[in-house]
Amino acid sequence: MPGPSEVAGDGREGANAMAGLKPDITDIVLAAGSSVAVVGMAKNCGKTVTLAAILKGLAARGIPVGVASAGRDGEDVDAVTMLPKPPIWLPRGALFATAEHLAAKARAPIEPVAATRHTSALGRLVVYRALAPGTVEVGGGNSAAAARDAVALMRQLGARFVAIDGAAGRKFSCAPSLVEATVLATGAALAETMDGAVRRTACAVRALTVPGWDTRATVRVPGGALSRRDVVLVRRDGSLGRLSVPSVLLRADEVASEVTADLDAVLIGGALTSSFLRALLRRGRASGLTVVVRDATRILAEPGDIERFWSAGGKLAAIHPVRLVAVTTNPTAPDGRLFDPALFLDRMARAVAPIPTLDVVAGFARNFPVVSGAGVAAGVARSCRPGAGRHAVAAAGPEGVSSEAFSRQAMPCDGAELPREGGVA
Amino acid sequence: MTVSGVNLDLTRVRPYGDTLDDGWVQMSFTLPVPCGPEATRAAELLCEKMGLDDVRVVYSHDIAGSFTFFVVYGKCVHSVDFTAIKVPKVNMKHMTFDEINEFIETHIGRKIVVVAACTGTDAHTVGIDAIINMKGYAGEYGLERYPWFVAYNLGSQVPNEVLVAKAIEVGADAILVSQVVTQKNIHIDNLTNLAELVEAEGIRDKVLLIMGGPRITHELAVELGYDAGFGPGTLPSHVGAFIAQELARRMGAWTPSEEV
Repeated sequence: MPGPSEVAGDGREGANAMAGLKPDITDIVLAAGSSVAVVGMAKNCGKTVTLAAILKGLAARGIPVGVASAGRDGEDVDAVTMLPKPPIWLPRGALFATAEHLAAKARAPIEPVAATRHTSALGRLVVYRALAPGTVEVGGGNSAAAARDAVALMRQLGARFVAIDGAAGRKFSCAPSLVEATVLATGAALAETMDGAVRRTACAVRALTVPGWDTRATVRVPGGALSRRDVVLVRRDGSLGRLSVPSVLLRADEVASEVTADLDAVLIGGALTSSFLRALLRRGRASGLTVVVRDATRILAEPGDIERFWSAGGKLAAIHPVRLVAVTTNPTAPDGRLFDPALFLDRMARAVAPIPTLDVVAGFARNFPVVSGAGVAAGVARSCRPGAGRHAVAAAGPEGVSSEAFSRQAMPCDGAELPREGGVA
Repeated sequence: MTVSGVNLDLTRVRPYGDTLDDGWVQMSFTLPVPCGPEATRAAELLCEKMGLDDVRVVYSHDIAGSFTFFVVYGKCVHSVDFTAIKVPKVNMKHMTFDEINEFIETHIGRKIVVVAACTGTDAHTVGIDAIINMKGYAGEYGLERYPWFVAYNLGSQVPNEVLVAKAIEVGADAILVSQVVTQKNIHIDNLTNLAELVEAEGIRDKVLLIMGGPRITHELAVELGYDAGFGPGTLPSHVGAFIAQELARRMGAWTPSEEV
């Protein structure tokens, strides 16, 4: 695997927008805010290489970073395949949150700065500072609560941009309560065939980018206060009903039986799983109903059940939408398979349009907005804004996508203004 | 380091066959070719590519006409640096059945509730049964037999959401998931989904999440956000001791340096 020095781009390339744009993933994440989670479809899809590309770009711009991992990253060999894994390279002064036992493996001089209250199997989760450039092993922030504290602490300590690397195929770290933007890494490791990898990624992107729940009732449902015990029934006349259950997981049928034809939406505070969707489908209650979750990381139903629910006329929405700003493709798999890099990127880009899609190692990009005057970052900011999706695709001329993508509904980005976590109460 | 009077270089460890450091290994495998001299030659060539010298096919047997099973000896030319190996391990003190029960009574003061299952498509309950069932395994009782554990074994092919629902229903302190079927790494998808579900239901900080199975390592557990991973050879008392100690530590009732 290439080291950070070989992965894509620095700031100067992004400025050359019109003449054979060399898009930089750092521009994309910077346009979306000051924090990003890199999550993967599976292990070995290129999360760490994607993160390395982002960190390289941030270092080139002189932005002080903080890095955390929702799993374990930068280790020498993969825990399953035993193949070498890419290192995490940090510039001097960078902060990173890692478990004490992993800190010893850093190949750069580091100093402990502050400890969080979290302890994992690898020891206390501590924030360190890199005293010289070098590679480190990052891990131990493996629950949402731990990752949240690590991010807050690194911000207090001066990180102007915070990046969280994901764990295997886990997606909890992209919750909007943790980060402003998400990059999804996918690759040949996900499926035997290119078809399979593209299809599964497209399906996950659709679930991850369910739109914001845009209704006046939003203001009366405090998203931040919802727990798994809460079920809110939103009637078409705007009135609300509340149920309290131990969990929808335990009472799927009971809750589904409360979903009557006069409901506009049902909001669940915990996980949305197959049993609840199936219960709604069995009762013929999908059509015209919106099932609202806190954020897309709570959608854990099987893809087939989500598809059936959508086909039956049901909708999914989130109080806090995930802002997926890019998809990255890794055409290589640990078993030695290699997809054609350009073809894989093309097909992925079409399937997830209008989301910018990049191969950060090869330096290819698709669905990347070509802009004039205002600069790349501003153009990216526009294309990533909810509602701007189709416009952005139409603008993606020379560098962009085939006409097939133009006819495709810009499904993920049809929400209104992004409600912020806690701001809807 | 010295073994039986012979100096052993731990930075270059090789297999022990008849004498120290001779590199001899025994292997068995099957090739999809008919049994015969060509098959034997194919096995030899393959072993040479695997880094074996002095390859001897000592047994070959026809399987169903078109496959051949081999047993092979050879000298491994490679070595490993044992001193550079660092593997994350479950951090706990070993305790016996009686010690664990006494520990729970003293430090936790109530029964510990665990739910366990083989989830997904996995129907192989041998691992989870060894840890949970009353009769236990290898001369040790399972957690069901411990007076200070309340154990629910949900069996095989349990959907993740049913396991999590049960954990919520009974207020479990620990969720144990067993994965034996690991073809195409299906266990990773399944274990990932369970961890996401536990997080989405908001109970991640309230339960210990523990995985086990023949291809499970503590390292994998850590990567997927679990509290511990137990591999082959794990006994019920290992799991019981970890749960008791980790729970007590989180409750602030015990610190690992304290005498058990």
